[in-house]
Amino acid sequence: MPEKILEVQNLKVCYETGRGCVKAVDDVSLTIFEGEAFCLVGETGCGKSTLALSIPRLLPPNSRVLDGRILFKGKDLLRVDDSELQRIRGKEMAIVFQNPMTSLNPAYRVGYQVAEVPVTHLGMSWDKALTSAVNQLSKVGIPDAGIRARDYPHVYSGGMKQRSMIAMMTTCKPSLLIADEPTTALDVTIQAQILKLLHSLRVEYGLTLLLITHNFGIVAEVCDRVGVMYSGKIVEVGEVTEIFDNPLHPYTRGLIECVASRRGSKARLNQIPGSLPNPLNLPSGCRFHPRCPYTTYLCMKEEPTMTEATSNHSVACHNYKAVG
Amino acid sequence: MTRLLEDLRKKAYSVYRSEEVKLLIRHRRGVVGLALLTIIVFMALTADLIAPRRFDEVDTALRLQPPSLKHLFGTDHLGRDVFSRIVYGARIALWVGILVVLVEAGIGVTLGLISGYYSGFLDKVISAFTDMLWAFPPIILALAIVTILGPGLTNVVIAVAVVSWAPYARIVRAKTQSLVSREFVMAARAIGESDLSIMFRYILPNTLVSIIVLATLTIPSAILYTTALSFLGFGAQPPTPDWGAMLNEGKDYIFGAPWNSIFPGVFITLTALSFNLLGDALRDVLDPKLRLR
Repeated sequence: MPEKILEVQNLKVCYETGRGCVKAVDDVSLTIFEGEAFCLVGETGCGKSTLALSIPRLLPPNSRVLDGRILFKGKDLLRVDDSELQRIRGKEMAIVFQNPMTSLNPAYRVGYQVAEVPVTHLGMSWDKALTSAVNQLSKVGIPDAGIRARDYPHVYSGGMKQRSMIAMMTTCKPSLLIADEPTTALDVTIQAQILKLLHSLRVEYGLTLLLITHNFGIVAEVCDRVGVMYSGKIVEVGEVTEIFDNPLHPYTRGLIECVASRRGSKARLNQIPGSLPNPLNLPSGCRFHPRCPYTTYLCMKEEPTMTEATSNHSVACHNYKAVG
Repeated sequence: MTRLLEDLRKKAYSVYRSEEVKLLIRHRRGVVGLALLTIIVFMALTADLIAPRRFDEVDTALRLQPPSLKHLFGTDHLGRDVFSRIVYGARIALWVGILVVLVEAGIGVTLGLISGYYSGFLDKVISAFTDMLWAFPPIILALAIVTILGPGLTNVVIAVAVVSWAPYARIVRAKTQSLVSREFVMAARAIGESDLSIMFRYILPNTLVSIIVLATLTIPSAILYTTALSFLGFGAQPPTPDWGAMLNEGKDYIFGAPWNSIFPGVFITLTALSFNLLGDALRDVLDPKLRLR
């Protein structure tokens, strides 16, 4: 059994709004093992980005962590002091954001920004750091890295910016890389290149990947294990083949069926009826029950808990046997 | 490859700003501003050499002489050479203008960064203070401060700076607030930068353009404020050749001897203009996005 690198326990995060505290992440527990690629999937607003940002404590100021623990290599990140947190960020844990367009500091040259990380964390000299920055940039596939390192970010394309971000975040060889929808803002060919890059970096550095996405194609391509989120909760966790071949939660099943395929004629695309519930006014019992084709009386009354269906597959549904 | 690395390293250090310098040279209005400013700076630096007389040399036989070859800009009501006084006055104008702007930008930028970065209580306190200052007539407050500190140019500089940092605080605060939510600031946090480093290395450089533009706008007004205080007897004491004070002294003879007021006025305008042109050029050159590649 590989070692646990990240363990999220009963995390609850809420956002302060004028109409009360909106729970974006509600009692989520999650374990990620060293070296694996874990995917969080779910539709917009289900709390996957909030979960991702809460791990390095980068949540916006109007949010609050109500409860829970985030154990990273045995340390509770919610309770370490700021200097320790600054040491961990960038050195042991890194994060790549959704929008590469604004992720680089427009006032400095790209090479300088990449070089800065090892200078801060490893005490490397600027001379050496700039050399290694150029190496790192060419490793992530920036052509003529020695020349392009002198450019300012605004002359880079979106894909190049995302590559530089990845270069910046991986110069210190962190053990965990969180990628929050890293390809959403890029076009499809660049998506594939970025995913390939992430994969090769994983192989080379042995880093663990936590990938946030809403794209099942990416899940199938990249991941070892998948967690499906719905309305602030994780509803199903399992190995990627298990999830695709044998989805046990009606929501997961619905999501997979939504993916357009060329099979069949020009029939209407499947869809899940209804939309995400209002987090200020959640339905009783199981949050998915108003949209679920398998709803029973129990679903309206009682919230399901995570149960282990098989050894590598857990699901939070009362009727998973009927679904599977 | 090694040659490229070598090149990069060189670029990163010694000639890091060479591109900017080149661009500034190509900026026509910037060159005009720079040239004007160079002339004024040159006047200030070499005043002892180029001024035909001392600024306080009185010759009552030569009162209110019109401009001639002997007295390039004429003489004033005490028979002092106006050209010499203007040359010496360049020192005061530059010193005062730059010092005031440095002090007020220092106060305003620091407070603006803090209040924009740490939203909440601190922000409320600083903003309330800025608004109060903004609502108060600056010249009256400056007068009050000079009255407390006593007359003299240094005290005038302090007074003018203390009453006029509000625009810096406001602009930097607004800029900071919009930058804080940008992803590169979050990325900076994600690579383990401290708050101080984020404020001064990520946010400040990106507000620099606005600060420079604001500074060019406030140097002339700083010169005017100190001039006004000099006129009221709080600033430069006679016989200090303050351009503003000369302008005011000359106004009593404006019909008979207009050169007494015109030349100081022209030099105040030229100084202000040179800073403005240079500021515009710097804005164009320092903003990577406005730069043509």
